[in-house]
Amino acid sequence: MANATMRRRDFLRAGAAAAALAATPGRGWAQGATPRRGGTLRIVGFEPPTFDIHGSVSFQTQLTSSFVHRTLFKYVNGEKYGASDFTLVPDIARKAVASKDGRTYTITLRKGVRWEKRAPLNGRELVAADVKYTWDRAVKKSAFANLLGSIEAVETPDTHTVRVRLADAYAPFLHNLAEPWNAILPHEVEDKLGDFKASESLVGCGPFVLERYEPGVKAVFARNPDYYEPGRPYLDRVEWLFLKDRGTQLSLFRAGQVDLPYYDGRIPRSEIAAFKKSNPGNPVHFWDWLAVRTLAFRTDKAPFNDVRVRRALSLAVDRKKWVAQYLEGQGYADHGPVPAPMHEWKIGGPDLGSGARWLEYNPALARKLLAEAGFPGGLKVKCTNWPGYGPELVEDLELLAFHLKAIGVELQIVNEEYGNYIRGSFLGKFDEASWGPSSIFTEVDGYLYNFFKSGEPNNRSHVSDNTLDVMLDAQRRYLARSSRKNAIDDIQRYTADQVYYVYTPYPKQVSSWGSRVKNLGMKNSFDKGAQLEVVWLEDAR
Amino acid sequence: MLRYALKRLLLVVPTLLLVTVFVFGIVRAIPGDVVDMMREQFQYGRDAAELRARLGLDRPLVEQYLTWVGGVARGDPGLSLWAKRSTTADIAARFPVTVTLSLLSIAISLAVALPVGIYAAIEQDSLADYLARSAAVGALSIPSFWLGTLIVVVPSFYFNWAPSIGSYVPFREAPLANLAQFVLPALCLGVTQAGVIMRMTRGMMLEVLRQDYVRTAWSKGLASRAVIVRHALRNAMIPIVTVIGGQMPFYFGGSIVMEHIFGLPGMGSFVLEAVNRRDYPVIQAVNLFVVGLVIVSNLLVDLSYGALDPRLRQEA
Repeated sequence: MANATMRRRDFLRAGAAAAALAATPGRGWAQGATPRRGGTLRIVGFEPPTFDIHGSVSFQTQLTSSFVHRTLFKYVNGEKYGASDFTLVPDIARKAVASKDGRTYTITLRKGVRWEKRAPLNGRELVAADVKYTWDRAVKKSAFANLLGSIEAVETPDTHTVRVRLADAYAPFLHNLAEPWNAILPHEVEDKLGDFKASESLVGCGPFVLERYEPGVKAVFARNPDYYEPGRPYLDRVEWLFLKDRGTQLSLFRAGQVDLPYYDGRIPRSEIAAFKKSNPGNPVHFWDWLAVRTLAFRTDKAPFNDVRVRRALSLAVDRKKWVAQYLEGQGYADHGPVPAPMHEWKIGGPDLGSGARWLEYNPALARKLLAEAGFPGGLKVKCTNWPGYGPELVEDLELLAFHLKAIGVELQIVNEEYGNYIRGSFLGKFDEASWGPSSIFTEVDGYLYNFFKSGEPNNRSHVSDNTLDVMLDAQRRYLARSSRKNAIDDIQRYTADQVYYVYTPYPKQVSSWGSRVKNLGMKNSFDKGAQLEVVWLEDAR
Repeated sequence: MLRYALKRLLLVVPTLLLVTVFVFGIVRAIPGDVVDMMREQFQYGRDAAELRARLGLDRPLVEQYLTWVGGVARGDPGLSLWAKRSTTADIAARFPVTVTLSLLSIAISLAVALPVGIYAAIEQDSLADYLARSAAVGALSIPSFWLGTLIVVVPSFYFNWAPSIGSYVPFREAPLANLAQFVLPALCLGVTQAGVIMRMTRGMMLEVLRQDYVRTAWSKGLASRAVIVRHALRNAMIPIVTVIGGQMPFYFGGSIVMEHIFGLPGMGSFVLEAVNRRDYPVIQAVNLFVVGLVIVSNLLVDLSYGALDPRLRQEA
């Protein structure tokens, strides 16, 4: 009970502070800089497979729809906030109050939020019934529905209040409302078009409106003149280009034809020096990305059902040298299960207890453990992966193979075609081992529940551990941050000892953008609309 | 000539039928099923059997094939499984881009290869001939995608300049600007493919120039232009035209890569996405369409034989 009160208080305090931040001019960008209105930002983006945020888990759909659709809450955005700063601020919602048992949330909507002034919405006000419609639809159709907890009922006591009752307390509930797949949709569009698949369905209430959609070329988003945040967005337009060739993307950026060479400005590590030389005025920024890179293995069968074999593989990786030599210090040695940038949840070193020793580099002990497990001469392991993630990840896997070879483990790399990989290995359907990056999650639960809970599709290592399952369920119920933190610390200690995955070191991402782009902050989120809402162009007139 | 054309046209029908069987079968042989894709990659639907039934993929393959072929015969190759859009509409929107790029590339290939090949044959074993032959081997050795990448990347690296990409202008809005977008990709494709045509032109011209009737033409005192163009080139053209016809798939295939590099919204990116998503109706429709184009271009090549060689008309 006390926990629930604290959680609610924590949230309201954060919300109020962030609301104040959002409403105060001059905050959220570098001191002394004055936002300018106007101009067109050109970004290399993606053409989404569908515009239906409930019909796809594609990040491309989330990115593109976020310009137009808005969520109840959003994360803080702008250059002063970290890439993994997920402090919530009100968006369509004004506030949320959680009941003491954490099962009921009463959300008050902002008044005066209007849908676009075009058919079939014609500028009508966004009301509680829209939220109910959206959640009912998400529960029925979205693959992310489990991230809303177990919704028992959604009520609309009045036009601007939504009350949701969960079957069980679910700590990440409010956080997940800020994800772009949770944006609020109007029922009229589905009534008229039958679904949200086509670009015509992109009618919203966000900072931008879809001005033009040219299949295979680009989408152009223009400032929404009726956007409910006064003065925002600063940009007149965003051109979201569907350029696929990486060489072309980088060349256009060098030539100043695009402001960002990728949706998040990412450039290859190997090109940093060249970019600094060819475009010295553009910032080059290192930031923390959240996708962890894992060697997953079939812990449900030999040889990886033996913890000694798993520990041996972990001991073979010289993480410190990896970061120092191969990542030039721009990365993390201990990157999982909770990603290093999630500072408030992450524990490492001695805090991991006995499990910390399996993160050390100790090839002699690794060989001893393998011998004890019945593999004195080492073993061969087939490891699937998708090389299409790019040369940097291919090199990382080769590096891992190199480390493992030193203890007699031969990693036989099997390159898979994307379709087979994403519907197979990515979901744990492989014979022995698989290596690759994870999806990104903005809530720590994503890296724990999805990776370790029995039967979850992202549980690639086929972990089936009753003790761990109980711990994973429990952390979801703790509403007080301190109690939840203790539970998550325990999970990290337990999983470090069991070595269900080998987490390989992880580099920071490096991004660059045109020098005229101001107040752009990198963010581990696909809510591009919210990120660009606070951006302006220095040369705007 | 009409009988000849009709005979050729009749042969197209069984070829197309065979192609429909092949196209229908080959897309289903790609590893990964569209239903799995939808459920696991993009998480459409909850039940595989229900989704399969909704997409009409639970019916026997023969029935699916006959439905599709029937639709094709009526001019309706079906809807995209993902976007529920008409594939005909999508092809109609993207076809002009691919065909413009292909035709421009062919034009550039011919503009380069024919005069250089003829000149090299006339000036056999001269410095110009050696240079032309070296250039042809060079063009044959350079993949068009490499040349395209080079054209985009190198100037940006050294001069902070890149061709204007990412703002495709349709022909109806600005015809000149539209054509300008195709110049560089068409050059890359046209020049690299020109090597084959140039070598064939030179070889055939050399053979023809040694024929008695050419020697007779020279000895009659005809002007060089008349001997070369009217007597020699016309007779050398049949194998050259055959080579050009055979090159058609390479132009279409090359266009797909060029579209990718130069950000052109043609059928290339469209079909690549469709393959990645296992969107059967789209892959089938595009393949059938491209095969149809190749058949038509080969038909035109066959018909041109008749125009070039009166003996073939008489035989037909």
